[in-house]
Amino acid sequence: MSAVSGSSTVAAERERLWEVLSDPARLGAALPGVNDVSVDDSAHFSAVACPATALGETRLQMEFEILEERRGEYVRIAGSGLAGENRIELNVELSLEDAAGGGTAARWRGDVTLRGVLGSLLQRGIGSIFNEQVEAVLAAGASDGS
Amino acid sequence: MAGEGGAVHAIEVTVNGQTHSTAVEARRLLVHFIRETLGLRGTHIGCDSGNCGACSVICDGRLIKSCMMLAVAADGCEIETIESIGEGADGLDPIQEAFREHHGVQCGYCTPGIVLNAKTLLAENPDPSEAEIRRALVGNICRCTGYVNIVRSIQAAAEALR
Amino acid sequence: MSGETTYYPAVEQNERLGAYSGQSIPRVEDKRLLKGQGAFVDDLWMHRQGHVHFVRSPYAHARIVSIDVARAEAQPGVYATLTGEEVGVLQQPYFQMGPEPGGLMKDYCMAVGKARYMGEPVAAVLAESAELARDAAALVEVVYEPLGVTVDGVATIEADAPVLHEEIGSNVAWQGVYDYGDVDWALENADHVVRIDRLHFHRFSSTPLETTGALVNWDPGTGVVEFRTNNQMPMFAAMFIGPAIGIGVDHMQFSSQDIGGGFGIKITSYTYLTALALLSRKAGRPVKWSESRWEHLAASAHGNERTFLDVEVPVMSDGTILGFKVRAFDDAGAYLRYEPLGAVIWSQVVPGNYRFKHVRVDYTETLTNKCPVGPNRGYSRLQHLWLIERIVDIVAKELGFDPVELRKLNYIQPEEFPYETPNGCIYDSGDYPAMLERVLELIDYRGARERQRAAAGTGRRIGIGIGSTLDSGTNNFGQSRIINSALPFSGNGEAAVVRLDLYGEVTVTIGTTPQGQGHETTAAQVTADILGMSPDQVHVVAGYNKAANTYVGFSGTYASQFAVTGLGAVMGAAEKLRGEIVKVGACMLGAEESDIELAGGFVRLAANPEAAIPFIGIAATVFANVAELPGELADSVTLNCRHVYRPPFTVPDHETKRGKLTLTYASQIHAAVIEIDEETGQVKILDYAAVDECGRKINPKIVEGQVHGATGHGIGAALYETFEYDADGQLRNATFMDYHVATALDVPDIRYDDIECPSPFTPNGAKGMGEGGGAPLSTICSAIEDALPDGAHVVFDTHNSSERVYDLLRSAAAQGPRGVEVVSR
Repeated sequence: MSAVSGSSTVAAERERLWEVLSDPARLGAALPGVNDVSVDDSAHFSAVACPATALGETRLQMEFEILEERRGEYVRIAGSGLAGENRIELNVELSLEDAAGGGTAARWRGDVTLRGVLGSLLQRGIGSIFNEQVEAVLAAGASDGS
Repeated sequence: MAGEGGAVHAIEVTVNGQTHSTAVEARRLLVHFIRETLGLRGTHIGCDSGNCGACSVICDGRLIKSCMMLAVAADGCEIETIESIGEGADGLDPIQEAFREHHGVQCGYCTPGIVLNAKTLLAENPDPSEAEIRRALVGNICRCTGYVNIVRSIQAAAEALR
Repeated sequence: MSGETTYYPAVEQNERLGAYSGQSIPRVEDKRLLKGQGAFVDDLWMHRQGHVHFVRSPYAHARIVSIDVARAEAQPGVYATLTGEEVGVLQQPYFQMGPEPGGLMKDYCMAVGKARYMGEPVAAVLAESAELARDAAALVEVVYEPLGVTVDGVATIEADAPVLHEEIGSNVAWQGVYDYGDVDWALENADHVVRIDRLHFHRFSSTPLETTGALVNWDPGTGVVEFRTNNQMPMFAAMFIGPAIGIGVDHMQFSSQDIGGGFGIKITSYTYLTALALLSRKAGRPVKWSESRWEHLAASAHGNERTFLDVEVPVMSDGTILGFKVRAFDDAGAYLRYEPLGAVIWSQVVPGNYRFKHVRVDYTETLTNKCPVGPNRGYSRLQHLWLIERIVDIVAKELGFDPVELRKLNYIQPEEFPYETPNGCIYDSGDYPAMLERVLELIDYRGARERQRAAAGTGRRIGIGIGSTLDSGTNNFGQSRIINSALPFSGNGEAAVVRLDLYGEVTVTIGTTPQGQGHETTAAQVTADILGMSPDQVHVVAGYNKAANTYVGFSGTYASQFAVTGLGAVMGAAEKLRGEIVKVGACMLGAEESDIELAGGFVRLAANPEAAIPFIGIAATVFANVAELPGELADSVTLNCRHVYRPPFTVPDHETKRGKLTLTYASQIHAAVIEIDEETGQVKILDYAAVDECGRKINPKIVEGQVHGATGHGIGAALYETFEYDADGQLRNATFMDYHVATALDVPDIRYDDIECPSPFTPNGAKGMGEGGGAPLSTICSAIEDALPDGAHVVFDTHNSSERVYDLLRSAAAQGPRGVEVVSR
């Protein structure tokens, strides 16, 4: 298990950023390496991702469940999935607040567990990959939403 | 060969003086191109992660790990593998001769990469210190010799070549 | 043989060895290896071959709910798949060497029903290329139900630990008490008793640079299964595979040429060979598999991890150590693939290099959700020898003895050989005090002590360490009966054929599977001496080939024995051929056999060297002009001479656990000077020396190279190499990026010397060697202990990363428990 955490401030207004983040279709477009996002119901969605890991093709088939949500300010998500013969599990919470100088301050923390060889190869590096993905989403969300 | 990611690219690469114009799958590693397409089996695979150096070849005069390079990226390159070292089927060059003389070889799996490493080292630095030899060898793992006789072999080869 | 006691039938030393044996001639193998012309298993290819990719469990312990291969099989280029469920039908569980409870285990070539370690194969895909096989393997859908995980080799026997094998009922695979002398008496009567809480020998692997691989073809026409593989003990593999999948050994063909290192790790690859055979039969094609490095690190074999608890050491006031008692827990991982042989093999060296008379080891072999262990260089003895060296150093420190003098006092003395150990093993020869003297000279022991004093207060602490070790060689497989009286194994042996070919060429085949030990060279040296020619006139066939009819059940290359068993077989066969050549030559020259000598590839009259026949004349007559020979002579020679060398063993006793477990005892004594950075705990080796003794050396340079290599492995394990499992059973470092194997910057130059104490028990005076006994593990620990401040915790683990050394350094100031106590009368 790797603990991940990070924070970032983006130019977009909080409400508009939330709209992007809560729309799986726009989210999917924003996520680097994510091919396909489909929504099952208001609390469940899935995605197929091929993040760049320099380990050849690492195709992640992920299922997500939104465990807790406060519109515009907080979301907690659990995800689990398959990457070939490997397993991935993640729990993450993201909170948004208005930044002092305008825009939105985002903070996130959680944990990611990789099982199987992918864990041997990548467990130590997954935190930074995860953070990069979150920052890419926020950045894309900000440009899309502003 | 079909399958996902099966896009094919034309490359022209010179290996041991012979130029090959061919098409390779985008994801094909240079080491697999050398071993399987060209059938040059002296270049070995030991770790898949760029750490062990068994797949070392010389590319445009520099020692590289051929498992860390795609075959398409070798387009236009000149590559030397172990098969180009020493004359004919039986000839040993002075570096190889030194390894034989000083028992710098045990199982022989790392050996081609290490001989090529020594060749590039001695081309740049004909009189390396023991510390310089060891630093140069850090990307080539040997599990048999404890490196002692590899270092001695390279020292002897340096002397023979000077 | 010296002394009155005769332990073995007298052995005649071969007088003909000399011209070439003992010389450091360059190796025959080197030309092809230096030119990239070796033939390793991944270099082999067969028409119509498919490539295999194994789907492996991401969980350390999980029930396999279902496996769906439909999507994988639908991929273009996929030939076949194989699942654990099919294996459960196609394969009988492997024969188990242990008795109950461990012997109840049902072990298959892939996970059947349940996966028990991360990386265990659960399915396999065969496809046109390795890439397509890997792509399709990603589409195999496996549903797992994760189960509780047990990873601690001691705690795994607690009642609340998840049980790996329900049929066993617990995680105890084997348990037994080895009790020699009277350790209770010794503890009661000793002047001091030193108690050590816990010592831990860590999990690592010598991880050869070439991974495991095979090209396997089940020929539907003949029913013969061909295994071209780098397995290093092929006939042992055959004994497991044959009954498991219902084929006779007569229908199995094994071969290898060059093997890129083995170190024991390639002995237990028979599980993969089984799966490949089943896939080949199912697909009707040759199948090829080359293990990736992470597969090798996660799921081939690891060295045995062992924890020693409650060590008690009785010591007399003059420093005489009477022996010790200990509880040992050996962690075998998830399956018993060579185990529980390790549970007895350590007892080849019960007292180490010392005159300990009273030893009790309560030994438990346990199962955990980790990669199964296999015999790794120094197998099972190095754990025990490290324990002994830790005991000696800790006793010295706690009771204020000089570690050099304490060793000299307790070593078996040179005049005591042959020496009988408390469990009836016979150490053939040696001179440990002389080796210790020499190794201390090599590191300038006095100078090092001065440097140590001078370094005080500089932030850099200097430590000097010693490691004494044994490399017991030529196993008596009868020792397996100590753990399981029903096992049908005893003795040992190896086969060789030496023959004249049609034009008089000398060809040698051996049942061994060399991985860099230079067998082609040393076999040519002894053959040349016996047949009166030069080694370059002798063709030793490279590698192993079952079709050469040169094997016994023990054939292979493992356990420090080639110089005795392999060369013993070659020498025996060469002598037989010599006898035939002399017989034919005498007839053709019209002389008596006693008048004949062999020299320069000729048979000639000793008295008149002009009267000579070249070997071609002998061969051509026997093979192509046979009517010229008297019928009786023609009927009695084949010029194709096979010999099986058999060491003079008897069966050890199951009840008393006593017997002659190995024939030869090579030894190494190492010394090191290290420097520790107080701020970081980083260890730097300033000087390192090794002195070897392995009887008569056939090729001294090859011997020296083996010592270097074993030293490199030991230093790597002591400071860098360790398998890190988390509590979930996930192996955290299964690549060479994270599992740091020693590089040229990590292994220092090794000062080397040797002494020679010929073995009285072998036909060439040689002792097997090569494993080395893990002396660097003891030496580095000894040096760290020596460098630590007073009041520090004892060095308790074989692996000492900077972090651990940092903690040890700071343990002195913390004044906490030190892991050791002394009770004096």
